[in-house]
Amino acid sequence: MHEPIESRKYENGSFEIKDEPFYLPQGDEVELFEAAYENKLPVMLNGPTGCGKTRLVEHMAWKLKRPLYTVACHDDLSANDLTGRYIIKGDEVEWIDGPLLMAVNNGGISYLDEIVEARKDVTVVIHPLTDHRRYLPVEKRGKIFHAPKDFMLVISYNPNYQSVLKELKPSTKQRFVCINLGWPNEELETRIVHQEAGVDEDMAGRLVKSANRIRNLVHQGLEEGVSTRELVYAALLLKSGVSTRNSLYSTVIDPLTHDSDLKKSIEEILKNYFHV
Amino acid sequence: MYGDSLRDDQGRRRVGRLIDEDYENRVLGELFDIISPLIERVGHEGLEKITRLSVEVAQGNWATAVSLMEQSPHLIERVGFEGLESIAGLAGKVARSSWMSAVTLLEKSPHLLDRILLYGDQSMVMDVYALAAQIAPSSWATAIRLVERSPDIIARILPYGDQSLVAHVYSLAAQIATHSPGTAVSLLEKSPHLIDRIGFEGLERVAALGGQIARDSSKTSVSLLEKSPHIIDTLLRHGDQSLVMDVYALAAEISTHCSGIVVSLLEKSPQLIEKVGFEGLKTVAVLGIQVAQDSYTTADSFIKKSPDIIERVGIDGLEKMANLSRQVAMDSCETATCLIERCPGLMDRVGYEGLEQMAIISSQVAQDSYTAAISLIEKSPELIDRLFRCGNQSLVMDVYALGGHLALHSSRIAVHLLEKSPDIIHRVGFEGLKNMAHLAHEVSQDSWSTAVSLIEKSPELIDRVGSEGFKKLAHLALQVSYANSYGAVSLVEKSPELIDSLLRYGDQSLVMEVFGLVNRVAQHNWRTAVSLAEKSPALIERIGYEGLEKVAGLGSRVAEHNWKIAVKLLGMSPEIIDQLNYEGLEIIAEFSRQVAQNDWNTAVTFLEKTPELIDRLLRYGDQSFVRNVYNLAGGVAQYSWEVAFGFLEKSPDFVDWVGFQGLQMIAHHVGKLAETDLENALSFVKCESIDFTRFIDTIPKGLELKNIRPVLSRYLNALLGYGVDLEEAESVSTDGEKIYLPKKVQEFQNEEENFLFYKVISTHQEAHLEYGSFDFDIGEVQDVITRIESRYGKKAWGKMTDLENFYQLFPEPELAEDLMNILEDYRIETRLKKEYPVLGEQIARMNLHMLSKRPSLEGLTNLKQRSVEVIGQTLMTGEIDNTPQDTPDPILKYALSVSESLQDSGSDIHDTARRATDLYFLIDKAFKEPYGPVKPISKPIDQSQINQNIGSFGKTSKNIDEKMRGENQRKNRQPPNNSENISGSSGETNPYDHQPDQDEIQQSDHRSLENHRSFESNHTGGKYGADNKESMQKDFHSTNNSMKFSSVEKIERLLRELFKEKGIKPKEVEQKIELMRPGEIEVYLTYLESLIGKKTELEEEKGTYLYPEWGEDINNYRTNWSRIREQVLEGGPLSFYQGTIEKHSGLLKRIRREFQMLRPEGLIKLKRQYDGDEIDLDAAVEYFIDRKIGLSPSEKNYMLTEKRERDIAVVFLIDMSRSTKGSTIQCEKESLIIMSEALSEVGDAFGIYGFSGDNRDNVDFYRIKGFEEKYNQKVKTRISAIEDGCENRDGTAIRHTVTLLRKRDEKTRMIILLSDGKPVDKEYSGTYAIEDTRMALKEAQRYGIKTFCITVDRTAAEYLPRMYSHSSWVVIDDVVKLPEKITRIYRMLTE
Repeated sequence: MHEPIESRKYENGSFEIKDEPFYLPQGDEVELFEAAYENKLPVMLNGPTGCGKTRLVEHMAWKLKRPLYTVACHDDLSANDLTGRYIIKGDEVEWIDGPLLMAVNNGGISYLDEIVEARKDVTVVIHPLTDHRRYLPVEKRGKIFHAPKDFMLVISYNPNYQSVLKELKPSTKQRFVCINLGWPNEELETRIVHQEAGVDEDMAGRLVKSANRIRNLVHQGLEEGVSTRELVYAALLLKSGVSTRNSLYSTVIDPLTHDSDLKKSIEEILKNYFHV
Repeated sequence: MYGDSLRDDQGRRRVGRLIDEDYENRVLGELFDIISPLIERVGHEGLEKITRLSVEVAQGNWATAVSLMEQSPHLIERVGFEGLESIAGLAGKVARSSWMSAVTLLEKSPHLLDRILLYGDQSMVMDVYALAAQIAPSSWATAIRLVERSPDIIARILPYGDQSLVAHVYSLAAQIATHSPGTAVSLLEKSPHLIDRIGFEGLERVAALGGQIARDSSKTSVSLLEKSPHIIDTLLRHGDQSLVMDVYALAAEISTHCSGIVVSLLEKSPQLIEKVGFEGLKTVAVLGIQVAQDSYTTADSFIKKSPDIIERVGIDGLEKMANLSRQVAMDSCETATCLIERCPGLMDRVGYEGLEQMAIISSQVAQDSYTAAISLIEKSPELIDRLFRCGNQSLVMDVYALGGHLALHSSRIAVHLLEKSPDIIHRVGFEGLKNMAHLAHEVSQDSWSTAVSLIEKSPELIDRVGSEGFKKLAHLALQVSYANSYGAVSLVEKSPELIDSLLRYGDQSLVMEVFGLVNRVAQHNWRTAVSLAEKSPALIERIGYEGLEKVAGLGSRVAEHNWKIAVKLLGMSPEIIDQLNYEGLEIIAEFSRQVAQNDWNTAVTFLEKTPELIDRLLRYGDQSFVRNVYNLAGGVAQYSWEVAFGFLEKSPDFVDWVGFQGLQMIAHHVGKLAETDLENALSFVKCESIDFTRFIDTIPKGLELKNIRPVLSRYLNALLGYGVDLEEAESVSTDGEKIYLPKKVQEFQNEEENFLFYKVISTHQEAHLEYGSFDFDIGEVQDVITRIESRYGKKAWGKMTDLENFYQLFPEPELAEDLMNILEDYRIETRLKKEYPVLGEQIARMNLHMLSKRPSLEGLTNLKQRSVEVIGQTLMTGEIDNTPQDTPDPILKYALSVSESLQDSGSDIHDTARRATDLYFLIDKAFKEPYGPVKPISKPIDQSQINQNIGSFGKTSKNIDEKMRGENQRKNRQPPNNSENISGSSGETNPYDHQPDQDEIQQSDHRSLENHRSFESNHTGGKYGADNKESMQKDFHSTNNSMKFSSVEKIERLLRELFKEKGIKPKEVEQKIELMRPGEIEVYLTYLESLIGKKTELEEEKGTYLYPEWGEDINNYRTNWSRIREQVLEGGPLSFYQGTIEKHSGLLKRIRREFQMLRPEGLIKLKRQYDGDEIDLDAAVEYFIDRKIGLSPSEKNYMLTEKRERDIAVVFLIDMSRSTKGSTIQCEKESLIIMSEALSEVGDAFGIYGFSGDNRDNVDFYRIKGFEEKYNQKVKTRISAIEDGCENRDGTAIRHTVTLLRKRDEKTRMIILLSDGKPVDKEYSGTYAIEDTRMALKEAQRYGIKTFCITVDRTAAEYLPRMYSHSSWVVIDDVVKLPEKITRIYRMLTE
């Protein structure tokens, strides 16, 4: 709070993605995304944690050469946090743009990750942006900001741990083009892990195979399957010389569940592939 | 009158003087009564005489005296005073023996006197009474008889003469009477007959003879007299009276020498005279006398039999006979008597010479035992008859000669031998008999009883084993008899049976060998030998003669220490061999020998417990396992046999707890312990010491399936991609839905290895499922079938599974099956190794472990079997690449090359079948002998179970394809406009029919993509993920439905996906499709496809939810088992509500008041208030900002801490099952109304739900009041409309309620269940239902939801505590009180 927030951080440049983020399409999601962008349609990414939703958005931002404004939503996130607020500076007040407003102003991609986590008033703010109106009303400033054609709203939504309490309202859902992402198929995921972490293909293959087996346990005690991200993490740890056991436990087993029996089952699957 | 009285007085005085004063009082009274008449008759003098007589008599007996006095007047009247005196004399003498008889005699006397006097005078009476008096002292009864008979006797004598004759006769009798009163009486009685026949002289002679004989024996003389009339009659037929006289004279002469034979002689005399004349009779008499010198009885018999003898051998012969009998009688007169009595019969058979022989034998026998001799003689006639059947007289003579010879040594043996001789001769001839005699003689020197039993059993034994065998047996018996003749006897007696049993297992030579063996053992210990003999058939049956020899050796060895143990051991040996083979017996023998060295009693106990112990041990392992246990105990016994014994006794328990490895450790431990501290070791093996518990804890105990079931089953689910249950079973197998695993694994010492074992075997089964071992379709291997049929001919297929049909094509289906299984195991294991690099290594390790359990190749003699085993073992090692390809075994070489082709991941069960066929041909060609199946390496693939449980993917898809094809062809022939009709009509009839029309697909492009994505993402984990992606995609985008399921493969893929994702079995699909018209199939398939990736059909339906259910039987959850259908209960009229309000108005008032007081609870900080305790900083900052930028700031800048909410959410869950009908449901409703009234007062969030239902997919869950709903008219009408429905599945209803409550933010969340007791639904009752309800309540607790159960079932005490153990509960005995109680309970719970 005491440190002054440097406005540099909010400059457009830092939101641009300069290097191509590694992304291997599972299907034709890239084409779909582009089509949506061209048609100024908002996109909802649907898929389990760590399947590459964020990476897809980054990749698309790079590909479409748009700055990316990512907001990880949490349960205290209010509309003001998206649009911006006044702050008191000395005797004066100063308006600070929120990320959504920045995206609107700069014609970038606004990515609201895990939108359901945010407060209800957030949806009210984004609704006008999702249909033909394409503007953002900012109450405090009494202004409406019209989005340029290169503005795009992307939200992500993880149906797996939806609770009844936190479900996206149908009226909200219906405003988006839905792109479903699943786990990449074996071959693809192997390539992803191989390239991301730089481990050999055999290792990557074994990680992916075991992950696929573990994913069979979803709905049988496991809330979510092993994510590609975690596989990459595991591979990274392995590559940097962490013991197999530690690498796997801290990425593929421990984050998934606290149930000791379930852990043991997962461990047994991994033991089929690795000397643990 | 005066005179009279005076006279009486005098009489009295006189009498009184005479009579002892003692008797005065008792007797005089009676006496005086008769005095007067007496005096009147006999005067005072007479009275005096009578009194004197009476007093004499009275010394003997008073009653007699009195009787005498009474009778005296009558007697005097008849025979005067002398007669009276003689009567009194007799009476007095009789009275000494029997006063009753005396009195009777006296009373009868007047009458008797009258009768005698009829014929004679007083003197005759005197004679009679005098004679009687003479007899009386020696025999009073005879005397009385004499008196009583006399009148008759006299009456019959008189016709032959006068009174003097009578007197003579009586005087004769009197003479004899001095010696023999009986004879005298007999004489008197018979005298009339005798006089009648031979006159008085004759009588005199007879009497003389009688008298003479009577001196020796009155009995004989009586019998003489009795018989005389008859004898005389007979004699008279042969001659005149003089002959009679002569004979009697002769008799008299003889009687001087020997009176005993006289009667017999007289009796036989007529016969003898007839035969040999009087002279002859004399000779006989002389002979008789000679014989009688030794024995009267013999002589008597001699005389009696003499007519018979004379008839046969003449008088000379009789003479010889007499000599013979005298000789015999020297040893034994009884024998002689018997011999004479039997001699006629014997003479008839064997002549005199034979008789002589026999006499010699019998006298020899008689020297030992005359009874034996007698019995021999008595049996001889029959025996000789039987001998005659075998040969002529000379044989008989020989036999008897033999017997006689034998009798010199042992008469009994001789007798027995003779008795059995016909049987023996019949079998082995006379020579054999001789040998037998010799043998018997030999044996009898040690034990005659053994010899006897040998002879007794000889016919039976010879029948069985011949005379040689018999000889051996005799030697054996002799051997045994050295030690104990009883043992020998029992052995001999059992032998026939024994031999019979032995002959079942071999010929005579076997029997001989066995006896030889027993003989050898007998040299050490006869009991062991007998025991061995007894068990030999059973042992030979089990282990053959060689085994028996070994057992014999074992028995002898043990017997060296203690024969009791040896006997016991042998007795149990067949049983033990059955259980453990010979090796086991050896071990047990050794152990018992060790124990017996110290304490044979314990050894006996040990042996007695052994069979049971073995039985118990066999439950944990095979024979070699039990032998190992005994070996362990043997090891312990080196330190202490007591500890070893205790160890053995407990071993089954130990094994149960810690397995064999643990047992080994225990054995090792107690061995060491016993060395140092015996006491401690003993209490250790009895599991009594603390050390024991500690030690046991350190032993790995093997791994039980139940401990790892959750881990293992999830692991398998993860591999397979769908749920399989694990179940305990004897052998490892799978039926598609379940994988059967052993209850416990104890293959290794540590738990990890055991777990690994579980993992490997279960993964193997999983792989069978995953890699399609059960998908064999005989139609796929048409190429092979053609080859097989061309080789072995065609075979009809039965109604079996495809695999079984396939095997049946071969001449030896077992060989085909074994090869198939071996190759298929190899195929899937190769796949596993490829898929799981590390698990592959572990599989190899476990296979090596299993390999150690395979039979050794050396032991296999069946060449086909050996080949299969070689292949199986080589493939099991999984190192076919390392096995030299230039193996000399061409079959193995080929097998290896064949199996290599199965390593390809594209190969399937049909390739296995092809390779198996190749191998089969090769093996069948190489070896001609029939195939003996190998011990199965793993459980054979059994399609039938899978087919039954799940169905076949391949077959079903093929069927569907065929059906559709048929339809397509028909369609093609039909005009195109018909297709519309088909789809139209199917839409009406089929509930699943949801034919996606083309417009819809095109319109919702991104939605279709969504569907597609989810479909795809879901099966990337499976095997049909990546490689089929493209085709699937193409299928999906194709708008032509008929193209979509254009091939069997595609349909099969769909079916597999359906099963994996939705648990829809091909079997079910096939059933549905069977009922469908062909045109509908495609629509149905499309529908099925649409299911994949969506929620299940049930979940799709709005308001339905699936819940798991706890299966008490499987000890696990059944996922998605029961379905809740949530619906709003339709309201009814409000009358019930109003009635209740009125009915309980008082109660309501009170409750409302009470609940009002419950209201405040919980603190809450209210932000942005006009007024409050604190400043709301956020608001304040905003206030300043707003002011700065010129907006009107808000005034709500304070925070208020307020107690506002009770923070309670409660659900009332109402059991609406049928059983609540009546007052229960009425009261439930009333309670609900009252509770609702009360709760609306407090403001607690509450919901009311009711449940009922019918089976697991129809649990109706009625919303009566949701949390969000206000307690309003609608709710009131719904409460009024609550009615009893069907069943109650409590667990499911509770689970759904928990789901509802989990969405609530309240601090306190609670379910109040109103029920009438037991949960009941279809297939949901008893323990199962109770356990599920219990689990559901437990789950609620886990989510922090309180549960409270109010039950009105008063009889529920036995199950409620279990069911509600995770909940609070109360039973309300009177349902009417429910409305009042429930509010109290609620207050109590929430306050």
